Amino acid sequence: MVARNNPILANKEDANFREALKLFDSKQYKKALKLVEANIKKNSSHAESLALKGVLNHHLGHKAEAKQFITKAVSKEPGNYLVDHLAGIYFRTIDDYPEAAKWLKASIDNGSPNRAILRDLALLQSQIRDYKNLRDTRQAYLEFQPGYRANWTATAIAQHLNKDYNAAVNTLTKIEDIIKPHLTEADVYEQSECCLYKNYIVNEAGNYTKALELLEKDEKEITDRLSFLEYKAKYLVLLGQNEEASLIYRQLLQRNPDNVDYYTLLETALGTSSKPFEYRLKLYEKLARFYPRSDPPKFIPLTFLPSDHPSFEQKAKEYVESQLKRGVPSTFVNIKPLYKNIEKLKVIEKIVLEFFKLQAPSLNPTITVWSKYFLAQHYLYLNDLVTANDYIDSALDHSPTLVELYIVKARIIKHFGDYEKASQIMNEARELDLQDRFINSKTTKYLLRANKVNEAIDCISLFTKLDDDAVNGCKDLHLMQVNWVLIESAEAYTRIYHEYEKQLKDLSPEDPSEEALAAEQELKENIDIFKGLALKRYHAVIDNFKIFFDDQFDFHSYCMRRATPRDYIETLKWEDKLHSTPIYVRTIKGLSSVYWEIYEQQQKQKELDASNEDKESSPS
Amino acid sequence: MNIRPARIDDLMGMQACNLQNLPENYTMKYYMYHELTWPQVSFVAEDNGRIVGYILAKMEEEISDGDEPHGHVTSISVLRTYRRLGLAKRLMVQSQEAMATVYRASYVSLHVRKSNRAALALYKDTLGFEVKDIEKKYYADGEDAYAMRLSLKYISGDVC
Repeated sequence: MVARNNPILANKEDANFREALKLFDSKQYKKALKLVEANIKKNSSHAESLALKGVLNHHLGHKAEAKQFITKAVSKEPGNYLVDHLAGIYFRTIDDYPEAAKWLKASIDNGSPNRAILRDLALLQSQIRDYKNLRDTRQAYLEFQPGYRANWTATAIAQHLNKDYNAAVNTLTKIEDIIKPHLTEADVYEQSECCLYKNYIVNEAGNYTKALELLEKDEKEITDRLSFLEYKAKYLVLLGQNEEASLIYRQLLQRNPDNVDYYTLLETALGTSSKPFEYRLKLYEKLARFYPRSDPPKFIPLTFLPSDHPSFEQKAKEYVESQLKRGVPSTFVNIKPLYKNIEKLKVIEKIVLEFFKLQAPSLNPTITVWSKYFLAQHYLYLNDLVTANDYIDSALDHSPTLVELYIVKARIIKHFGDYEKASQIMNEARELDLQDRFINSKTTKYLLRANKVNEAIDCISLFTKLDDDAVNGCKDLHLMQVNWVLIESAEAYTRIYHEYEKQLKDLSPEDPSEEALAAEQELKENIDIFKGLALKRYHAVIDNFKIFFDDQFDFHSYCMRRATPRDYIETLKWEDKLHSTPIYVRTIKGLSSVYWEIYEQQQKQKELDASNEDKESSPS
Repeated sequence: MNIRPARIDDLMGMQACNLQNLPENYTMKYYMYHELTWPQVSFVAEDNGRIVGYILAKMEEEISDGDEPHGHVTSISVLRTYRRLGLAKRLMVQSQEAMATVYRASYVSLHVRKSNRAALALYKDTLGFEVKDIEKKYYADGEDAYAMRLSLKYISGDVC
């Protein structure tokens, strides 16, 4: 709400303006506009009316005519806090966060008594990462509304973001002490999270002794036991209390024996990472007995045992064979990280070939199929496509309805370079299981790689939401931010128009016939169409990343109310590195190469035009 | 294979995994809303940095009279090529544990399409859920949903 402090009416214009403000606040924009326009008619320099007219114009859809009034208003009376506030509101509406923050701050600095501005200003300053000013804003708002814990948390966050760790911890401690005697059941989560946030800050400040001390003091308040244990164990390791730390990592393993990090950290605490392999192997054998259904204690030894160590072959055999016997589709993928070591690869190859030849024949025939499936992937990895293909064909002969086999078959064919055929094979798999979106997605991808964009979109549209009037799921793919389809489509369109460009180049320039001219014209049109589509799809990915960045805006206030400050801080960090996400980088690369092509073509055209002009103007 | 709590920088991988696997999809902000409201109850299965399975879960905000605090599974899925490793079960167990200890949930609920036999079998036989109700036309395309439920009373307080 835009409130005016001075109730003494200087003149009729001010009275009108006050009335207009009221109407604006109750969203009666047209009536408000009438009043300010009357004001401006009488006094064309009435800055407040000009500013409000700008805001109203925007709200009433006259967007192009909005900004000039704002600019005029602030140039006439930059020191008027009402004008400043309206300018801030205007820039906020058009998502110009830096300008919005600038004018809201000016409004406060110029004496606006409206403290609610501080709250809006804080969101903007968070969004533009103006942490220095954010701290003052949050502090001022806290002084205005100290009765809400969220405001204390918000202030602590701002102090933390300025790396003023002591101030942040003090703020959190102060409210904790105030609130402790009044805690209700509903506050339990907030109390727990705020204690953990305090700890998170002390940890970041590097004071592990104090962090541990506070953590133990707050133990009863903390309901997030997992975080408590993880923090505690970490501090103990950093403080050299390894024995105690190892006990906690064992507790954590009991809670979740599938978390790889706990094994690594347990080893750090036990100091076994540098011990002989045999010693480490014993540890993992024991852990594997405790957690027989968990993967890490079985897999980790394979990473540190040398390939020529007798235990390596034995352990690798147990690992691979048990998965092949169970028909685990990801057996190859699970073992693949070891392939970086070529010697280990050879040992595993030997194990699987022996199993396949000697043991599998006497077992359930599906085990033979899974072994062939493994070997096909193995030889594909080695780029021995012929052998890979033989194994997968033989598996398919036996089990022509097993979808997984087709996925590998299609991949092998893709590596042979036949994208068209690869997509057909993937489609056969899809037809075996029409209910499964995974295989539908694979088929879509392979169709896109084969430059069959329309077929691909029709395929994926079997799983998208369809509006009544929509021909396919293209709109839903955009709405649901399906970036992988957008970028694959953009790349396919790029390949398609490159193909047309090649055809255009191959046209005989000497042929003056009508057909030849028509063909040339058609190629040029196709190039334009598909280049346009490529650009459009690349931009759609960029638009999604803009949405991902804007998404954080609401959380600048939400997380304080919901008491999730630790994850809020992580969110800011994530948003700050959003544009280094691989798919974004790939998009920018693809997009910029199309733009470079356009630029170079324009340059060439200019040179051509210039030399033609020269020819024309030079005397012959 | 690694099972661990979901972090904010997993959300894009979770969204990609969901889009590849399931017909019910969500915008990034919905994932953020989960992670920034109940950060402890969502988990991921990770294979060499790639998200190959996830559980996206929440606590029910509105509890009707006589009902108890409870969690809700918004979405759970594991890529087809990573089946038979028990990942869904592991993800579910971790999430349930967090619902019970951090938020004192007494049960967890979820919805499943009536036609989705594979999922129904997973929830019923592997994870121990029971069908509590049928919700008519729960899905946008008009399909009915089974409302399923699993008691968390077996997780009494802290396990340590």
